[in-house]
Amino acid sequence: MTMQTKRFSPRDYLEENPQVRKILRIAMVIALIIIGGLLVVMAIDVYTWDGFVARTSKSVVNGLALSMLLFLMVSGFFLIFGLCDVINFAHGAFFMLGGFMGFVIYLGTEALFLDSTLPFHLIFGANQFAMSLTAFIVSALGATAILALIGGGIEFFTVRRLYGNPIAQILLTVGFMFIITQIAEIIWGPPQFSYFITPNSQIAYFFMSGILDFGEGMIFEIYRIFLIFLGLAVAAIMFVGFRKTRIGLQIQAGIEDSEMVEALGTDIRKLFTIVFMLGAGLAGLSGAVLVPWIGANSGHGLTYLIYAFVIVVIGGAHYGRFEGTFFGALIVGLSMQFTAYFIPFLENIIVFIIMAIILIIRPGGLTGHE
Amino acid sequence: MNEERKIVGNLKGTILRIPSILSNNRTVIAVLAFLYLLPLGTTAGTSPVRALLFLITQIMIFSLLAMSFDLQLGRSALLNFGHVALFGVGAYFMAYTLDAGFLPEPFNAIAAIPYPLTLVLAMMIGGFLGLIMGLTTSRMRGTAFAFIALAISMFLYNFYAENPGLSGGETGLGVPTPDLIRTAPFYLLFVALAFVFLAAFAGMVILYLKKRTDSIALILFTPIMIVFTAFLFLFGTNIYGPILVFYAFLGMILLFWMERKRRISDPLEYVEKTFAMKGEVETTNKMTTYVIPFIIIIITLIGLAVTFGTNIAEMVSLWIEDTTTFYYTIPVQFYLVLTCLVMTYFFIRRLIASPFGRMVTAVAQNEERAEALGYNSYRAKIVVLVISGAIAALAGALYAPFIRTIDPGTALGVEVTINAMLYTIIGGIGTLLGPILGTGVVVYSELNLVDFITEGLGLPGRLWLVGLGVMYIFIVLFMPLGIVGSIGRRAGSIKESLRQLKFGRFEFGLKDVDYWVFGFLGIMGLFFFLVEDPRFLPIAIGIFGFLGVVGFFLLYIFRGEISSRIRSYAKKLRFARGGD
Repeated sequence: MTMQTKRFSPRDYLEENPQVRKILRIAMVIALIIIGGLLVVMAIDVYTWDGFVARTSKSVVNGLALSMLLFLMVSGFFLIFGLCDVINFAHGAFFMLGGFMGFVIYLGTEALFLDSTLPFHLIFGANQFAMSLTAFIVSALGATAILALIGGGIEFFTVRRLYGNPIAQILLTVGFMFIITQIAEIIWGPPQFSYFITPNSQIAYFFMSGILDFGEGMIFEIYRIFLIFLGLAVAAIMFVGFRKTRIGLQIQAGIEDSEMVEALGTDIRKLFTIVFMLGAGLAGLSGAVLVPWIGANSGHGLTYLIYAFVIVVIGGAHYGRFEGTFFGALIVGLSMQFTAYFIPFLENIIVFIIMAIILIIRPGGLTGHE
Repeated sequence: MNEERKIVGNLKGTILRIPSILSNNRTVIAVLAFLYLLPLGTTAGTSPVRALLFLITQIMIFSLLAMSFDLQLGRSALLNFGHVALFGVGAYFMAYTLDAGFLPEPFNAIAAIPYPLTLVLAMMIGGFLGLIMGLTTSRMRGTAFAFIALAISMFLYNFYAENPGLSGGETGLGVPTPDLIRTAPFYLLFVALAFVFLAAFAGMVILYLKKRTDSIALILFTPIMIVFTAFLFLFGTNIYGPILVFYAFLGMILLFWMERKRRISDPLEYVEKTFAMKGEVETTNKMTTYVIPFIIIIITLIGLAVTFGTNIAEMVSLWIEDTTTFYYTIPVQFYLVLTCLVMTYFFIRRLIASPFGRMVTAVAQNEERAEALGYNSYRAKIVVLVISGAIAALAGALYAPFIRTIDPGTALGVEVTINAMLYTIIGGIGTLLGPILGTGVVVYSELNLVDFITEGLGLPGRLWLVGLGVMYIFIVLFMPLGIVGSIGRRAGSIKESLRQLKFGRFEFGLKDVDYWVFGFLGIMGLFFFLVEDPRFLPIAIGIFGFLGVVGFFLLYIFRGEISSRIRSYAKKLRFARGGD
């Protein structure tokens, strides 16, 4: 009667045999990939296989362009979240404001260049390509600078008082989100209107409206290819900056352990302000380069804020690395454009499905840990 | 025989516990009695109270949402970005049960479920969704949980946004008012509840006057007497009711004098009389303990019935004439939501005080330590999520028939989550009253900020959202713990100095038992202020004047501290100027 029968428990069995567990895990991943691939094939089959190559290539180009853009924006959000532990709800609003700033500065610069009383036309002559390119660069840099100043000011005057109180920070940044969004709505109108540079521009030739045509429906817009290279270039600069410069290393170390960095003699408060300026500036830059493609819209704040959340969480929010954000942006951008071209009804949901799956498999995201 | 005796004993125990229950919840009972009294003042026609009732109902529904959010964020440290999903399922379930035309064939059978039962079912569905969210918490803490919940809510939002067949497309889903709300018996049920609360209020005041036999009690009691009678006089239908209630109040004062004479005429003589001469504890005085209080309570209730009898009778006759009348919707919905809110409030209060609540707090503060002590943190979080989901779904189920149209933006959008978060944080997380107060402040200012900006400041009304943002920033900079949290941190020292308040030889010490007076006067003053009728302005000014006098007393007590602060600040300035 006293004999106890040991019940067979799969969990105990797996813990005793790690090799079986490893094999099982690999088999499960393979099975998941196969099932996922089958589902994708089925879903495409429901729609149509017509123009498969053209649609694939288009979605790759658009997806890469979108993911580079998202990466530019989200890297700022990630820096602020990682180093200062502030969930910056105002980041989407920074992004949106950056778009309007880019729009306004572009048109202003262009008008300045075309003004015959000013000496600018002596430099450019009839070269409208150079003129529009210069105006575009000026607009992107101007939006970056303005947003960096705004972000730095917000950190210096308000957020600085509230470190260590995450709940109050949420309230504060939501307040700034409301203020910026509403001011933008008052000046530029409700979210139903989008502002594109092309229809408002005075220059007929415009490097942003150029097209590469390979035939068979494979038409790519030059601006999106340009965006890919711009994003890659900024990413490369940031990677190198974080590896080689002193301040970059300090920021990266601060994300890992800010108290230790402070103990080693770094003025972490100054670092926080710099990171806020950098983050808001990146949001402004990405907003400004978004205008020729998707447009500036006062409703962008909340939409892109949610994408920022998703990407940062996929990449690894806590103690995550910079590469995680990059890959997260790639996953989100590519999956969104692929579903837009192949399985349209999933376009808005796919991102959240992917995020849930990744979080269930790896709770800390791709590079972070709990 | 034995069983019967047991039941009688239980009953007797319950009845004997009533006085202690009443004196433990003075403020709550006073405020609730007033809120339950409010809809009785509306006639079947239009009245200024109706608009106010609508506003308060909205505030209370969102308070439920904020309380469920606070249960997660404030009590168990779970930040939930997808809270709106819990709200939305309740709202959509209620919409489908009231109008099943949108559902395909086998599912539209849910329209056959009677109305109050659907509230319970909606709560169960919300709890189930909370369970699904909770199943992810085992390995996920902090941000990961927040974002899984966000994924669930965005999934639901997009599902509804892309299925116009289910969500009604651009115009949204029209929700009819439940038939039960339009019936008089349902209304009378709540009227009876209102009278129960008013009787409890009268009993509470009597117990207070019997306990507090200082002259200070009389000073605090007089404004309540005047304001309450004035309220009945202004909103009642005749003059006899208020006079009866006034007599009841005079009876309370009589009771106060009797008790005072008996207690403190001469303490030594009193002790001698009771112990030395008789050798036993004096039996309770039947006259002042049972007879007079009951007579006073009955006179109060009769007075209230006389005051509002015409209104109630008019409503009932309207039901007899025409069952489709709409006059019931606002007062009955107000009563329904208020009752749900009261039940939720007491449930959460009980839950926090229970061993389980302590365990949840322990898990929230330090999960590893709680697990090391042998608590199952996973289970605690899941139970909190299920309860919170049920409450949020209840809020949604009450919201759908109240607002009459729901679309994915208002019932499932991210904005609702952000709003719930704001209500909770502004009120103060981890407090019972915080979410309710925060909701009141935000919803009221959302509705009235436009008027304030256009008329008060002379700026364009489109700036209202900017004004709201500025308000949030000021609240967070000056009250980082929220309204209730920031005041509660200083409450101890304020109470301590109020207890020792003195004017020359006259002692004006306020004890814990006195604070319900300010709660009651505050809500009455707020009511007269919110009705926005110039006739009532003098009363509002009177009440706020009384509260202002109390504030002046506060300044008087803290005068030493204030002057020393000013002196030290002046010293600092002198140093800054260069040390001369």
